[in-house]
Amino acid sequence: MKRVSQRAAHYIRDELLKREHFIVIALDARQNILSVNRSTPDWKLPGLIRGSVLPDTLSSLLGAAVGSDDPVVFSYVEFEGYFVDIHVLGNEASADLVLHDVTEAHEQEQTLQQRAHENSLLSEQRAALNSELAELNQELFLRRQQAEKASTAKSRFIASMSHEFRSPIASIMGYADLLRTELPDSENPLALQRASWHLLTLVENLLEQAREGDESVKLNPTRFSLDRLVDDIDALFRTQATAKALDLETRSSPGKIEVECDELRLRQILINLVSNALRYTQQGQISVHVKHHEDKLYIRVRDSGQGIAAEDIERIFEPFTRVGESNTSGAGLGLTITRQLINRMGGKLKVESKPGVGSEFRADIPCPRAQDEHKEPPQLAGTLLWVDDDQDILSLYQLMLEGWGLHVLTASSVTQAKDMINRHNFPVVVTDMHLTDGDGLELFNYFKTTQPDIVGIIISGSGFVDLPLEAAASGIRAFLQKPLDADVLYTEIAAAFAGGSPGQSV
Amino acid sequence: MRTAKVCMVGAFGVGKTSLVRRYIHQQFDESYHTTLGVKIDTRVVDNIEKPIKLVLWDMEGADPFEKDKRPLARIRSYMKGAHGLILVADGTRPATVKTALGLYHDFCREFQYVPAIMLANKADLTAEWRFDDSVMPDALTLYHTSALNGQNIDAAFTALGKALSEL
Repeated sequence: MKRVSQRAAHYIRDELLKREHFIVIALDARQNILSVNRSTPDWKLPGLIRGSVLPDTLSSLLGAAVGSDDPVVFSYVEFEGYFVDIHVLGNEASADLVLHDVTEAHEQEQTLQQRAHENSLLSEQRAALNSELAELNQELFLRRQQAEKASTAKSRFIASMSHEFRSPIASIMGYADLLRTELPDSENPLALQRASWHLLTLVENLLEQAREGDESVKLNPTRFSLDRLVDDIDALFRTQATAKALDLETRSSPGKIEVECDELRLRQILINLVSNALRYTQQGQISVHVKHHEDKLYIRVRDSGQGIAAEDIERIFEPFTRVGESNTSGAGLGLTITRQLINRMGGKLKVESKPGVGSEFRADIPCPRAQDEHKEPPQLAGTLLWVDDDQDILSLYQLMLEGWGLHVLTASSVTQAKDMINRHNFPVVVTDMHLTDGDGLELFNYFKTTQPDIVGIIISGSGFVDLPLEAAASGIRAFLQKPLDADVLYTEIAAAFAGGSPGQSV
Repeated sequence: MRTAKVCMVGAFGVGKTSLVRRYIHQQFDESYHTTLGVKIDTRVVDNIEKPIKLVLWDMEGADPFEKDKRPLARIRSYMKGAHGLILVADGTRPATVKTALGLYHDFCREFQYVPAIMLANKADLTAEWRFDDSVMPDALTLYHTSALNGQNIDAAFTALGKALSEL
């Protein structure tokens, strides 16, 4: 404000003093109160008495103001229940303190400040929680990654072990099949077949468990005879049933019905269900009915075993779980896998059971009837190379393919196969995927550029689901999985010689 | 008896008022009342060789993120002429350590070295505790305190009183 008249200055001072409370305290050099002047008589601060020493509260303010020629102001100082702005004028020898009551203004600002601080503290808490959450998420992510890695490693291990098992089982099953043809009246080939199917089912159960939730696993529909499947199941379990003095009844739809669905998995389902019935039935009967009606298979396995309590029904499908008597053998995977397989095939499994009376497992699985009647395959002609490092497998398929009219040369390594391919003109080469000195893909990639006309078929016992894709990318005609189905093998080889379109992987 | 002006400084919400209340009145209030301005209180430290009267300036807290500069200006004016400093941080809020140390360094730069201690308060909140003792300068003695249960409060004020009485 520019210079104003004395009259105006007095007017402003008087108006200010009417509205605001002031106290002026005059002090001597020893901080004794010389006088206390109030702008309004009703604002009394009992601690301020003329002749007494200045209270510590105010005296400490003087120290802070020492050395300053200009008035020093301390805002919002709490004093005797009021908030005051304190103006220190003068020096230590002679000072005046002017106390200005700002309690009302303080209250208003304090309310705003309180709200702002509370909001700020909440924001800090939220930020801390968010940061904690981010850390937890990161940890969760890392743990999930570790778990996924471990799970993949476990699945790969099981898949690779299944390969190791499948090759010898395929060999045993093939030879047992040949023996059955040669010795139709002997029980020995049947015993061999039973044992190998049992082994194969165990391996397949493990493999299925390892790839649980893997949507990329494909079904392999093939054409097969329903009554032969049921006969095989009967043959597999009759000895065991007889040994336990159980009455085993197996029945399929009347007539020679041929259907098209995944035979290996269907066998697995039946073997699991009948094994389970045999395991828990000590006397009485087991009946196995497989019927085909309107593109569906209806399976019913009924036993007169110990039965399952209602509260345990769901638990029997949990992996590695045993319900009831614990002195039974097996890994506890059979029913888990069975339900998994049936679901994968688009079917449903139901159980009804009464403790002490028995159990009944009923499944319905989509499975169309084969389009035309099966005929004896025509004889083939030509020479092919079969590569496998398992001599028994080589001999087995050599025998089988020669029965179809083919001339078969064999090699047991990638090196030997390369040498033979360079010396002979093979229209078709069949090779195992895993060989001692390399793999089947490597072999095909080798002659793909020099002899592109050769048709390649790869066979593998590995459970790795990505191998067929790799094979397809390398221009391989077919990727077949062990144990080989003779009909599928015949179809693929016949098509390879005829130069037909590539078949699907197995 | 000597009198010493001691300033309680730090960010808002760290518990400065609660610490003074616990030290002077042996009381604790759960609710949070932000301090605007300064409250001046006294207590004699008499369990030492040369008893001393501490005039405790419980000041409003600074904004750790310095969005509001007004409190900082007032705090700096209040700190003038202090004989000792009690720096207060909230052991569950790491940003408040920086605020307390910042005020300490400001003071030392503008005025002079005075005896000071650091209180890492709310030590009862062990689950949320995030105070890193290793960030403390050698010149500051650190106390983990709790205004809620009184942990280390008498010890800290007495130690500072003793240091001031021996100057």
